[in-house]
Amino acid sequence: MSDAPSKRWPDGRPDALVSPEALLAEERLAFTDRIIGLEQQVKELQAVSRLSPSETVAAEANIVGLKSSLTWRAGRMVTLPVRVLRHVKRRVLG
Amino acid sequence: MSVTDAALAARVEAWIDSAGHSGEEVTRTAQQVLGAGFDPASVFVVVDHIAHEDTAEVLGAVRELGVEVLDADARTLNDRLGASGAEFLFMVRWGKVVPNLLQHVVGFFDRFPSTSVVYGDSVTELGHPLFRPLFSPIRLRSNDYLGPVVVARRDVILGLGGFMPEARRAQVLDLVLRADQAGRTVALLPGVLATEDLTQSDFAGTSDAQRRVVEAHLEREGVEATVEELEPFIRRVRYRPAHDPKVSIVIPTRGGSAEIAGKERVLVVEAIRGIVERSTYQNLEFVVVADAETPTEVVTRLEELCGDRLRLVLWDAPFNFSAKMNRGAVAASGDYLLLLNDDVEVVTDDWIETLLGLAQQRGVGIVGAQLYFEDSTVQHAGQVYTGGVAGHAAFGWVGGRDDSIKSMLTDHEVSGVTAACALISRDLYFEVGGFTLELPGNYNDVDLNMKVRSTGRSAVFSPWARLYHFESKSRDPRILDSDLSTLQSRWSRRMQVELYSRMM
Repeated sequence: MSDAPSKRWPDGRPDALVSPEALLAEERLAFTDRIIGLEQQVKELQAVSRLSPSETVAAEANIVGLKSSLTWRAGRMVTLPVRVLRHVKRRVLG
Repeated sequence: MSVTDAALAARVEAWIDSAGHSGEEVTRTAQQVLGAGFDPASVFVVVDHIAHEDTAEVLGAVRELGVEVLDADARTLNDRLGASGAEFLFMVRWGKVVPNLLQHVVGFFDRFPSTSVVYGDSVTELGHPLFRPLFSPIRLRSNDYLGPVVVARRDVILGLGGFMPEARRAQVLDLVLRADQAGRTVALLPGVLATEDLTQSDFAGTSDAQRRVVEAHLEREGVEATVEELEPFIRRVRYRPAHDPKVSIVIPTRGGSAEIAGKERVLVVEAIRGIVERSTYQNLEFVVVADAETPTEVVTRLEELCGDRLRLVLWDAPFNFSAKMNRGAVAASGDYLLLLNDDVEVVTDDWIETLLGLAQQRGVGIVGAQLYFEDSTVQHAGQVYTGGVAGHAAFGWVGGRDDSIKSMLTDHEVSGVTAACALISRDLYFEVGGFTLELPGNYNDVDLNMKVRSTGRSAVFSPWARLYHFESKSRDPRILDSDLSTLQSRWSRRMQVELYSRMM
């Protein structure tokens, strides 16, 4: 506990300094976080769904909503020539 | 009826609850159910003679439709359940079901076979959506939010022992609470299953029956708590913290001052003064992680306020909120960590008991409080995650405003809670690696919540633990691109759809 005399902070307060054991514990926390973070990054890159059944259905509904929006349909119209050209190029060049 | 429809109809049975409804309303509901493709021989109207002064009108209307009547007595219900050959039982409690109900719900069960019980959204007669949250067992104790249509696998109901006589008038709530307790999967089907009238008045003693069911559930769970009715169908569950564990309040500070309500105040001193003077929970420790430039007089005042409950820890490196909190967590000796900003003021005296009681519930990982701006508008009622970014539910709402499922009156599951005030067990904090150092300023609490949730535990918000948070509403959070990309590299796909605070 901080029972050191009220000198100018933080001078003369060895109890407020971080011990080597505490530093080690902080490093262990950071290490655990790093492992979890990397695991999650790998899962983000995997093809398998990370969503629950409810989330899956909601996400699919969002996509359906998006694809039926005016913005989406207008975008499809605008990019139609490019997509046609790309398709033809693939057909011709293989 | 096509072969496909007939095959589908053979898999389902519908029970329509008539309590609180006129003969005309029951007829309308039954017609909609039949129109959805149910075989008339598999549609039953459940009549509770306790719930009606005169059941003659309902009975007459039902007979005209040619559907059977079931008495609400548990033995009758269980006998029918045993005799039924259906795979799924549709419990229609009110409203008018949508025409594609069968395909929608049975399709969901077929696609996700581990699901035992399903409920869904509805709309009002004017077409306003009534979205329901992902399955939220804590919220369910305070509000049966499951809506007009709840569907369960018949074998699951039988496996749970069927319907209970003591749960009369609240059978569905009781069934779902028992299903969750037994580890069965209860799932939201995020789609409209019915159109409904919004009626807030109690009928047939339903609200009281729900309270008794929740009390019995808490007793089965071994939870010490009291249940108070706030308004019809809405309850406050007050949890009594078990074992009175030590709570370490971890506050990072620079010892700064700000003008609050026209008065200059040293933030950390006033925050801790409020806690010391007002909090009813006593087994506390204050872990203050103070920057080297904290004024000495601030440190002295903290010592005077906290006495031997103070643990001062020096922070002498560049600003890093995450690292400061981790330092405080390491120094803490409590069983629970109460992560707290220094610019807060306690409003409710029992805020720690409220947060702690919830944190001790089965499946709960982290618990957050309701935070107000200085002008008493809401700053925080849980976080919402959508499109890979995070925001706050009910942000800027004025007092008294609420959504259709009474989220501002009920403890409930959320996507996350702000670390400006959050309680978590020390063991869990260490299990998930505390705050990530990769997010020194922003989104570190979002990451912490996601790590907690990835362990299968939930984040819970309580509107009964209230504090002021004197953070400017117009504060520029200065979110860096790197903050967002770091967060999204871990959780982007898990943060696309907000399904807890859908009406906020």
